[in-house]
Amino acid sequence: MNRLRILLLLAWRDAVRHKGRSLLIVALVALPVLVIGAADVLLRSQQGTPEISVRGQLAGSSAYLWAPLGAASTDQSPADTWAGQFVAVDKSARPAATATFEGGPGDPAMVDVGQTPLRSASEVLALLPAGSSVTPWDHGNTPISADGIRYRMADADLLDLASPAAGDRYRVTAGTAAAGPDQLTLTPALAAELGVAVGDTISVGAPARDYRLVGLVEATVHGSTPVKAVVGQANAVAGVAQWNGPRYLVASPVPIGWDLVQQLNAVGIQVYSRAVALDPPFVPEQPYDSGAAIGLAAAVILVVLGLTQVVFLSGPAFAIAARKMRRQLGLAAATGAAPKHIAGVVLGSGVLLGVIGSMLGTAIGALIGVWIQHPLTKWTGIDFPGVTVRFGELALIAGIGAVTSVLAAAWPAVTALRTDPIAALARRAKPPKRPGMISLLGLVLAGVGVIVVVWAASRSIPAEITGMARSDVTGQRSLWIGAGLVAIQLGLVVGTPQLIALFARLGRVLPTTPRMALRSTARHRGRSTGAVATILVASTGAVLAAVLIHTMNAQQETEYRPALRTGIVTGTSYSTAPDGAVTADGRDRAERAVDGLVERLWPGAPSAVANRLAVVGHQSEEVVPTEAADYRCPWYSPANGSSYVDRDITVPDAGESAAAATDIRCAGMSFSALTPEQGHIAVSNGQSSMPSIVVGDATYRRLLTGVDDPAADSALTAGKVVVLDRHYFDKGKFSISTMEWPNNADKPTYHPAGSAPAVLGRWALSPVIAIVPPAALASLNAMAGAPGFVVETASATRAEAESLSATGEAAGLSLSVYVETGLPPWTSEFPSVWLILWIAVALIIGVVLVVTALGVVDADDDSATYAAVGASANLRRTLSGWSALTTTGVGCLLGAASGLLVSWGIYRLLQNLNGGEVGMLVPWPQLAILVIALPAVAFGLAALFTRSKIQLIRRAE
Amino acid sequence: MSIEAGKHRPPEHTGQVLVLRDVVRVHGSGDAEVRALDGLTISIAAGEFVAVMGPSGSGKSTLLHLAGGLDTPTSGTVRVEGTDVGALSVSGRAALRRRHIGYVFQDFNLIPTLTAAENVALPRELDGTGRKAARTEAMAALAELEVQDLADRFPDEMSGGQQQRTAIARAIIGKRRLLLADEPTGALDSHTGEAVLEVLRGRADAGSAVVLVTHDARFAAWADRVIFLRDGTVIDTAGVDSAEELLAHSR
Repeated sequence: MNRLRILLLLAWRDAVRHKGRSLLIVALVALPVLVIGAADVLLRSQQGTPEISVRGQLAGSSAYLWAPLGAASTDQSPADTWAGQFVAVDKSARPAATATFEGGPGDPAMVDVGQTPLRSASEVLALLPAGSSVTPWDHGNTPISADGIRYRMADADLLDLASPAAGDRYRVTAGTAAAGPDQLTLTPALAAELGVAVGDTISVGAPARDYRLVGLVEATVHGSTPVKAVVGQANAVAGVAQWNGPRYLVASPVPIGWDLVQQLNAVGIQVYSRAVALDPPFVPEQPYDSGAAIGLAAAVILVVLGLTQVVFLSGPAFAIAARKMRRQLGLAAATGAAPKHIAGVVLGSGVLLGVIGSMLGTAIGALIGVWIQHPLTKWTGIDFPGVTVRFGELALIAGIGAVTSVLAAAWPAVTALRTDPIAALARRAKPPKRPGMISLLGLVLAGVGVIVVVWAASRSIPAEITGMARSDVTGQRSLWIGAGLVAIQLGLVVGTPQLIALFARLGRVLPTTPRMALRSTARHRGRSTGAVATILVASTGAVLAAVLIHTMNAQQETEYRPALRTGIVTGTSYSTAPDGAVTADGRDRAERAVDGLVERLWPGAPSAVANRLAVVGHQSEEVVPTEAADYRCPWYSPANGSSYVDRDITVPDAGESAAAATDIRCAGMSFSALTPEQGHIAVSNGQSSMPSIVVGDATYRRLLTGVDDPAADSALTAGKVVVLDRHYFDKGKFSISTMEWPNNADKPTYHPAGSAPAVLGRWALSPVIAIVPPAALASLNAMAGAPGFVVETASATRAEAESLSATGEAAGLSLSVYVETGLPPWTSEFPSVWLILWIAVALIIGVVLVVTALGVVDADDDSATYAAVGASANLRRTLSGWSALTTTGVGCLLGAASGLLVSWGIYRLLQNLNGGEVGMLVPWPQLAILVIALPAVAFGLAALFTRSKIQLIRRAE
Repeated sequence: MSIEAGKHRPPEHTGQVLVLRDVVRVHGSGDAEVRALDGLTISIAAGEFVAVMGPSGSGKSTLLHLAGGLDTPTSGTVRVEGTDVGALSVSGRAALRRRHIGYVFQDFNLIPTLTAAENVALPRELDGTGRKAARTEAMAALAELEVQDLADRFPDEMSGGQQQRTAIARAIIGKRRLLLADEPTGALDSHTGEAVLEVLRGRADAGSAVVLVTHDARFAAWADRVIFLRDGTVIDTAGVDSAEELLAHSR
């Protein structure tokens, strides 16, 4: 014990004596611990304590429950808030109530409780303890507008705040709670956003009707309740879409325990109870073992923390500290300290600085975790119900940080075991060892990796390999390229000492200062290898990502085919009737609504109303155009079961893809897997955003296509169909079929419906295949279905598209809106490429500064010698700068080279699989930043932060 | 102050404390091979004060390193208190240094992060002695060197002479009978150097074997016997009657 004390004392006094170095080590230990500590506080605060979580769900209520009609039984876990979405149906008891909701996951006897009518409040009350009260509680999304013209969607709670069962979920801050059917309250945030005050009239619902705003309310709970809530009388807002499911809130004079929950489960009622959630019973079989996943995640974090700590951060720092203590250790050895004592001093540093660093890191991390919650909520919307700090977990994190820093000090301690007291006392340094065989093997491994990547990427896939087999081959090749990448990276990391030694030899031709820096880097390989390896991996990743994103973006730009002209907005409604039938009266009302909607949102803008083509007895997607037999794309046919809407065709290889792309019969079809993802705004609720056959007139055609085509306009006026896709123009006729897809059939069957005279219109890029004038409907045995519109705007935005959809919903129309914006150049690339690059740059600069600072500490004796022989005071700065430049330059250059090679490999692979019109593109600005600017910046920063003066003589006082 | 070498005669010897027999120490190999010691045989008894003189590279420091268990011979034997140093493990040699050998260096070599008392107590604490007991012993050693008032000062708060006295205190703590001093006066003025030599003489008179490596005949004159080394071998051994005689001898 006494020996331990003296060893720790030596370590502690050394740490105090060399405060700068010790602070650096403490910072390096603290850094990863800080990140994990902050993450722990954030995670736990987001999860909240059981009390916070329960309050978030229930506020002051005792429980909420789902009480579906006709449900026979259900099974739930104690803490489930949405316990088993499906319940068993007792058809004999309530067949009528459940008939339309069958079709749960794989079991026809299951019903979705969220979609099922509820038992009445009195039925539920009869099952609860005496003295309980119950109130319906519903929430969802609804259109809302202050002027009745422009709507937006808002979260809504439907709840009678006067009921004791509602608890104190909302607090009235102005006016009164809604008491009548035409009254509602808003949260202050939503009221401010809408610009309304108490007493104003607001349009809400789908279809919308007017309500009077009688008060402002604020939610008293965090978590599940939306920040902006509309609170009205239960069930007062009709037609609200996207409900999350109805339920009852309960206030009970006695806790609703697990026994009662199970009794309610037995009659199909699911319960979330305060008493059960706060004190859950032991349930032996949980459906999902989240503990295992958390354990795995924790293990991964620990391994990453440990490796980071040992290899890259405090490991090299402890090594340098041990080197600086060498003379002291030699003295101790001369005084009789055994090797184990010497190692103990170094390990003692690890323990002391590790404990301090870990505790500091954890404390600061926890504080950051608390402090950042508010800004995070503001920036990202992540909700933190309350600050939750689990001191046990933080202590564990601190402990693990301390242990890993002791591990980081282990290798320097082992090295210290071999301290030669005579050499240490004489201040003789051992000559550095030449890089060993392992390092050489690393370079060989990297070479093998290069060969593997080149081999896997350069071999073309034979044409006879098609379809899935082709994908399999590509998958195998990608595995080879992945293996090659790993081999290159591992090999370069292991071979870094050899590479640095090689660079040092090249330094002969350099001027004195960079030559000294290069040799110093080579001499202290232990210090610089970790840094070079980190920089290498970071820059490889950055280059790889940048090249691939840049290339794929260019490919995407080349392949992008706009569906409409920029600024054109189309909206399409659809019928919810099972057979697609639309009554003439309903259609007229909808058309007027659409017309009014367009006029309200874009007054005076050119617009036209058009309808889906409907065939009685069929959904709109079951009405398909018939292909012209002599103009069928050889690689494609609807008869093979492909969807004709997406027109995305898999072809055997790049050669055939090129052939298909130039075949006029296949014009307008896409032959690449690189489908455009940007360039339009689609606000849709599950339906196709544009119909392929539209009932419209010449105005509609002109607005849609933007092409002047008098022949087509005349044809429409004359009652002829204008076909915009040549594949469906068959010798002056346009025909449609109805499609049926019987259960368990591999292919659909087609039944001709009708045929009408047609002309071929001018326009190649069209999601619309044909425009049918009303006069041609009879020939096609079809009718005008749900209405839509086209409107020409300057440049519609996402907010306008969302507002249009909400306004349509308020008007009783389910609208899908599509806005063509054109593929914005760089839009997709800019954030990702630059973000990756800046992350890499930040990492590299951090690593370089730390290593340079350690190097400066390590080179004090050399610096004194330089000064003694007359070097200028700035030499220290310049040396630091060159040292940083060398480390960064070697790492970035090797990283960029391996990144480019592997990018080429992956590009070749993708090209083999999908074809592609653009070659591999290198983002030169980013590459230049990485390879040229970054080392220069590292030089400048290192020189800037290095102190030029040192104490040459230490006097005794 | 006149130089009166050999004024203190050794008391009755109580056995050989340090014995080197046919010791060869070779550094390096091939063309770089250096025979630092070449068949050296000497023995030093308890209570004997021996000075080792010779030019640079004659093997003086190597002799001390071997005697102090910091190094092992290429061939031959080094015995301290009868223990064959070459047969010991690294830890065994460290224990030998802790218990039987005191080392005094030219530039004091106190551990800068420990106080004077902690420096002196270090070998005892490393040997498992309790903190209080070790401090008591350290204070006694410091008192013997008359620097007990500096016990809680750090090395850089002391003068060179005070540091060297502290270093000697560290070398004599415990029951050590072999005191090795490598140019202990090299960094001191002559007055302080004389004082240090007086201390070493006193240790020898108290029964320790003291080996002093020095270039200075005035300091060597404090010894009972002087060994002259050149190229790793003893070229002469002389008893010392006066500094003038020694100076003449060394020429």
